Parts: sequence; structure tokens; C-alpha cells
Amino acid sequence: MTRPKSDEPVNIALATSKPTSKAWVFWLGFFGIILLLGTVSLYAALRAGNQLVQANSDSAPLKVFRVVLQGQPSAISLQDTASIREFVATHWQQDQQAVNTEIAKAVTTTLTPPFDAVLAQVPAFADWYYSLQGEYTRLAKALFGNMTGYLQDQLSAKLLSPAQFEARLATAVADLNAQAAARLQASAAQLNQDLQRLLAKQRVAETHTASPLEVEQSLDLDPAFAQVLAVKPADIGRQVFAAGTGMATGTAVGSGLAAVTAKTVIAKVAAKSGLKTATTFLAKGGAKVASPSLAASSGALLCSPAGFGALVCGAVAGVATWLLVDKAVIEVEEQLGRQAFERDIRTAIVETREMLRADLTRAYQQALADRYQQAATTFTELLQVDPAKTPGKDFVPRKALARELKAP
Amino acid sequence: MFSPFATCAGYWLIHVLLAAIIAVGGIEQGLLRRRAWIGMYLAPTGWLYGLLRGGIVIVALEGCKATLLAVLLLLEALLWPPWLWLLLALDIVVFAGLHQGLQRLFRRQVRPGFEGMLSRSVLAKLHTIGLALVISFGLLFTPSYDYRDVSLLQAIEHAATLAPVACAGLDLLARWLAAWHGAGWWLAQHALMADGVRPLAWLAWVVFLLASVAFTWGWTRLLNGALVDLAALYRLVTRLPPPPASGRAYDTAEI
Repeated sequence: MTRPKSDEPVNIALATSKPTSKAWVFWLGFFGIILLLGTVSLYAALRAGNQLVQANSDSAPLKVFRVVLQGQPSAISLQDTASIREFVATHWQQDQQAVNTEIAKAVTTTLTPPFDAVLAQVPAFADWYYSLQGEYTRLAKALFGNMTGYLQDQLSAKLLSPAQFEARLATAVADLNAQAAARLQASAAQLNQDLQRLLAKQRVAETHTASPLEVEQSLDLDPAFAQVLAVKPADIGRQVFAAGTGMATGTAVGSGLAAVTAKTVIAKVAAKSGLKTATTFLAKGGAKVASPSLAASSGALLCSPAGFGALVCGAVAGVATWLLVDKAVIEVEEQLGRQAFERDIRTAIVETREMLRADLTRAYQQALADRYQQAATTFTELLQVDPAKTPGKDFVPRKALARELKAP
Repeated sequence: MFSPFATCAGYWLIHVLLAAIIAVGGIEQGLLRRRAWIGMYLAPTGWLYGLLRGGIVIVALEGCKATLLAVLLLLEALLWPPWLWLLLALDIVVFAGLHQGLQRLFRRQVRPGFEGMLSRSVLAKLHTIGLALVISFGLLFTPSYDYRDVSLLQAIEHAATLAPVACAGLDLLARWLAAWHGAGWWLAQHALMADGVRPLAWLAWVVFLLASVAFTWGWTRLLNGALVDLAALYRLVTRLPPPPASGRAYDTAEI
């Protein structure tokens, strides 16, 4: 191996690492990546610290709503308040549908006995109607008074009074009022129980949360329940008759309804029996015109003396003949028409009952619907909380400005 | 994962570090100004001359300023979007490059030993304005919280929860700062969208965004401070000659 001479220049470019023109690129990459990693690490550390602080923070209280039920306060989170409101609204809505069917059945069941009692009196009324006494009192009223009014009085006296229709109907309506009020109260009581269970399930346990609870709003449900439970049968009655039924507009109580219904029954029945009265008169008139020969022959046979005695005898014979003919005609008429007469009366009574049933069903359903709606509104308004709206992170100034500036 | 931001001590440590770096840069610029004031403008017989001559006032003033800027920077950092972090990382390289360039430029223009200080002085202003404009432009495209459907109070309440800090005192400041931002955004989203400001809407938004990126001032000071040559700073502090007995002002050649 040859050593270089001392005065020979040494190629130091090979001995030392002289920086090249591309060295700065290396250092740019080197420090650039360190800078980038440092920035990312710093950002991550800041975010991690932030998240840890948020997780362990005891300064941010958990906002809750205090719901008081049966005097027992329960802390409920915002989301649960919404679900409770939904639950309450659904309860009233579903129960109202059920109660509509129930009240329709109750009206039918309750109205049947008073009208059945009236129907049971139809044969007795027909007996009077097809009697000589009934016939002559009607004739007398037709001659000297108001036969239609008399007939209505008789219908009331012989058809409705023995059946105690007004009293029975008043009792039936009072019973319906009581049933409706009880149904509403039962619904409220059921809701109360369900809510107690729900609140027990959704209650925020104050001892198990890291954050203190901050009561945003206090909702006392007890007054709302007390309001619903305080409903009285008379309140329902007033509501039903204030709303007015087709038959009973303006009447305020059950007895008033009974009186109106009685008049309706009489009017319907009287319309049919009044027509019969006219036909009866015509039939009887013809029969009596056709019977003078019978009267003369029978009078001659029975009254042989002459003079005033003969006159009296003839008159008596005439009256007897008149009565006999009347009796016979009534009996014939009864044979021919009683069945149809009774059927017409029954039909009139049943029609009245159905009309009343429909009216009452509608009125009670409306009254209860109003009550349910009122209760639902009260509860949902109470539970209608307005939690602080969380703004979304979606406002881009450029987009918003472009949109706003485009708008006319 | 250990995070210094999860503890109060970590926050204060980082704050002190930031404040120290900013203070170094601030003191350098402050002393530079002091030399000019004392050497050229102030009469040696005046009380202001005596006050500034010792340098304590400048240091104290810059220290206070640095403390505030560090707090602002630290708390604002909690609200920065990820892209801003990357931008600031890139900005370090850009700032260093510009600093080198300016230093080269000033090498032939200013007296030896002052090129670094003067280049940092010039760069501080240019960089703050430039960076603020870039960030404001970026914020125009960055999704932020939509406060248009909420009340001012709700916006403030919401914003105040965005930046929790593990220190009681700092937490209060952080909440206040975040709430201030929230109120600003609420006002901008309501007022700057009104019909009456349509022709100036873009300009108004840029002005608003510029106002909301005041932390760039602190950031520039931080970069400035990081580039300060401590030996040169020490020389700057100690090489100030005593005032001449005649009471005349310093000749700039003596400084």
C-alpha cells in the first residue's frame, strides 16, 4: 500500500461528508414530519384532556325535570319527559276509543228497562181504547173539547204513568252520568298507576350519578289528576244536555229529558191513533145510518103502548140500539185492527227509544271526548317542556351567505 | 393516555412555557423600542427616561402581555378545528422561512447584530395580518354551530360548555371566552344575515372573522419568541451605555 506524499493534496471530499445541494430537502422532511407528529400529538393531548375533563367534570350538572306524582317527586331526564308525554297522550287517546264503545253499550242497556215498561203497558192502553167508555169519552172530548189533547193525556195516564216512565228514565240518565264519571275516574286512576310504575323505572337515581342534578322545571301532576278525579255525575249530565240532543235540546236534567221523551212517545202514538179515530167515526156513522129498520122493528116489538110512553120507549130503544151497534162495531174493529194498533204504538215507542239512544250515545260520547281531550291537553301541556335546544354544527358561513344573497 | 391538559398543573405548566417564549420575543421587541426612545426621543432629565432606562418596566409590561397572550392562545386552542392545527404546523415552517429570507435581506441593510430582531419586528406585523386573513378565509368554509334558531342566552349557555378546563380559574376564563365567541357567532348569524347588510355581507363576515382570530397575534409572538437568539438578547440588555453627562440624547452610533 502506498502512502501519499505529504505535499500531495488530499481528496477531502471523500473523507468528509460535505453537505450536498439536496441536504435541505432531507432536513425539511425530517423536521416537517416531526412538526406534523408533534402537532397531531398536541392536538390529541388537548382533545384527550378535554374529554377527560368533561367525563370527570362535576361542575356540569345534569338537567332534569322533577315530576311530582302522589306527592312523590321523581327526577326525570329530558328525553324521558318526552316519552312520558307520549305515553300519557297515547293513554287518553286509546282509552277514549274504548270508552266510546262502552258508553254506547251502556246507553242501550240503560234505556231498555224504562221503554220495556212502557211497551208492557200497550195492551192495557189498547183495552181502554177499544172500550165503550173509551170510545164515548173520546167522542165527548171531540164534541166539547180537544180530543187530541185528551188522547195524549190518556196515553200519558195509561201508557207512561203506570210504567213510571219519567222516573225510570231519569234514573237511567242519572245512572249513565254516574257510569261516565266513574269511567273517566277509572281511566285517570289507571293512568296514575301506570305513571307511577313508569316514573319508578325512569327515575334518575340521585345517588348514582356523578353530576349533581339541576332541576330545570318542576311538574306537579297531582292537581291535574285531582281535577280529572273530581268530576261528578252532575257535571257530565250538564255537559251532555248543554251540548243538546236532538230530542232534548235545552233540557238540563234527566227528569227534563224524561218529560220530553214522554211527549215524543205520545206525539208519535197519537198521530197514529188520531187517524184511527177518524176512520172509526166514519165506519160507525155508516153502521148507524144503516140500522133504522132494525131499531124500528125492535122498538115496535118492545114498546106497544101509545102516547108519551111510546116516545120514551122509542128513545130508550134507540139509545140501546145505538149502544149495541157501537159495541158491536168496536168489537169488530178490535178484532180487525187491535193487533195493528198495538204494533203501531210499539213501533212509535221503539222509534222514540232508538232516537233517544242515538242522541244520548252521541251526546255522552261527545261529552266524554271533551273531557278526555281536556285531560289530555292538561297533561301534555304540563309535560310539555322546552329543553334547551342543542344547536347543530352545520352552519357554514359561505353557504349560508350564498343562499341568503341569492334569495330575492 | 397521559395528557397534560387533563390536569390543572399541566395547564399551568404549558401556560408558563408559552408565556415565557412569548415574553422573550416581546422583551426583545420592547428593548428595541426602548433603545430608540431612550436614544433618540426622550430627554434624559424626564421621569419617563428614568423609568424606561432600567428595562424593568419593559420586562414587566411584556411579561404581563405575554401572560395574557398565552392564556388567550391556550384557551382558544380548545376551540380550534383540526385543519387549523395543521395550518399552524405548516405556518411554523413558513414563518421560519420568511424569517430567514428577511434576515438575509436585512443583512446588508442594517447594522450587524440587529438583522434578526428587525426581521422579527417586521415579520410580526405582516405574519399576523396574513395568517389572520388565511384563517378567516378558512373559517368561511368551516361548519360552526348554528345559532339562528336559538336565543342569545341559549347560544351563550351552549358555547360555554364547549371548552371545559381542569382548572377552576382557567375554566372560568375558558367558559367566558367560549361564551364570548358564541355570542359573537349568534350576533353574526342574526345581524349579518339581515336584508339591510346584504351588499356588505361578505365584507362584514370577513371583518367579524378577522376579529374572532385575534389569537394570531399571540401565535406570531410565540413564533417570534421561539426564534429569538438569547445571547443577542442578553447583549441587547447589557450593552446599553450610561446616559451622557451633558444631558444630550444618544447618538444612534453609540447604541
